[in-house]
Amino acid sequence: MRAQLFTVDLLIALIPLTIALGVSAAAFSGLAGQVQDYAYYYDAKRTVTDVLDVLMKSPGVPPDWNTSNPPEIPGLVVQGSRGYNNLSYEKLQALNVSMLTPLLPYPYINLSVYTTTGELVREVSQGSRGGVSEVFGAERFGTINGSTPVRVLLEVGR
Amino acid sequence: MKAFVFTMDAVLAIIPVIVVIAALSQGGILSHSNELQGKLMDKYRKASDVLETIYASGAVDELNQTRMESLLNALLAGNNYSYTIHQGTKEVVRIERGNLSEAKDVVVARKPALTYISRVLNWTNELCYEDRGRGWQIYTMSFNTSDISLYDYWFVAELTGANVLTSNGDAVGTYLDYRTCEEIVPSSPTLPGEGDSLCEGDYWYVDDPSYPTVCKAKFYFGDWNPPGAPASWQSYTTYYTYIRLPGNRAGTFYIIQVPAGTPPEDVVPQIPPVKQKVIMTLKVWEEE
Repeated sequence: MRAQLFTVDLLIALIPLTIALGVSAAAFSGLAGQVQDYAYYYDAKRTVTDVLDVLMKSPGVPPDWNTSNPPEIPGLVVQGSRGYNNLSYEKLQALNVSMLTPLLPYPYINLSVYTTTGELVREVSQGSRGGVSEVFGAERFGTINGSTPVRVLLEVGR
Repeated sequence: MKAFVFTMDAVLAIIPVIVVIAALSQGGILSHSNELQGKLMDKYRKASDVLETIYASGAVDELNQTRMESLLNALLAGNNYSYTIHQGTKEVVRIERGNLSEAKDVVVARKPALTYISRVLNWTNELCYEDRGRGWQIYTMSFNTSDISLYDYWFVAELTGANVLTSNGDAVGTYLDYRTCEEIVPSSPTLPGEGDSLCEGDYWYVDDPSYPTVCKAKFYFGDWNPPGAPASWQSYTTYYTYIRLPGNRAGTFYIIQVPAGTPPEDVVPQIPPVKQKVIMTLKVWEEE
């Protein structure tokens, strides 16, 4: 009788323990997934933001690439500009998607420049938005040739 | 019985552990935090971009509040903001939209910049019209003011060689207006001729009265306005000065900005541009 009591007691004690272990396993699995998603999301987001930083904050290499040789780095800032975010209209027109693909190895790329009233100034793209399952984007602000305020959107997808 | 009590105790102890683990397993904690962090970082980048754009536009050099407000409204459509510029502890610019006390999430971006406190604003002039009857040529020069309570604006004439003024008949006149030449000439073509004579009268300072080659006058943004002028002179405005010059005379003219109260002897065409550090601060938010 004592032995039986002991066994039943042990079994009852094991039930919550088993539940706790099960829930813990699910929780850790969920957390691992979230951390993975976090890293995945920030990796893509940071890439897009960094590339947009290069475009918005440097004149490129060489700085007169729109009139000389194709750029090693395609910055869009007016050559000799006193500050960042002052984009050159001529460089925007000269930009094409093949200059972005070395920096953005994604099947879908879209760079759009709009005035603050919503008028499209320039669009450079590759692939289609519908052909990718996830899209990451970043938005920056500046002016064209120091006068027209614009919104710059860069999206990539994989 | 003892064993049973022990089991109940263990079960009770495990309940909070299970609750905590279940809460963690729901997910959403990290993703919510990520979402909020991402949203705030995006807004911070936006605020930084706006400061960079304002700085690159040159509006800070002149403390051009109209230009700054126009860029803020264009780039921050849909957001509320508070934009300030401080020179040391003194606030020299404040532009706001919305109510900060009702803000949900506020991001703050700062950027140091330089603004001119003294410099030659303009030294080029254009012929506005010729008064053939009196043999005068009327030239015009434009300049943008900052805060007219903080800065003085001077007109300086540098005459050369044989153009030294000898009599009232040779005098050069100057006149301040807020209208362009195209706006003035059709209505009152001789208006600038009514201005004060250079090197004569109380408003003019002469470096060497016996041989007046450099004469200067401080623009007076006061109550005595020329016909058609605004009731009160405004800061951050483009003004025009008209220069009346006898047909056989020549000279170089300058518009010079200096801190208010600068003595006349320090206002010279060779004045070096002096900049002062300022801090731009932009707070951006959405309201509840």
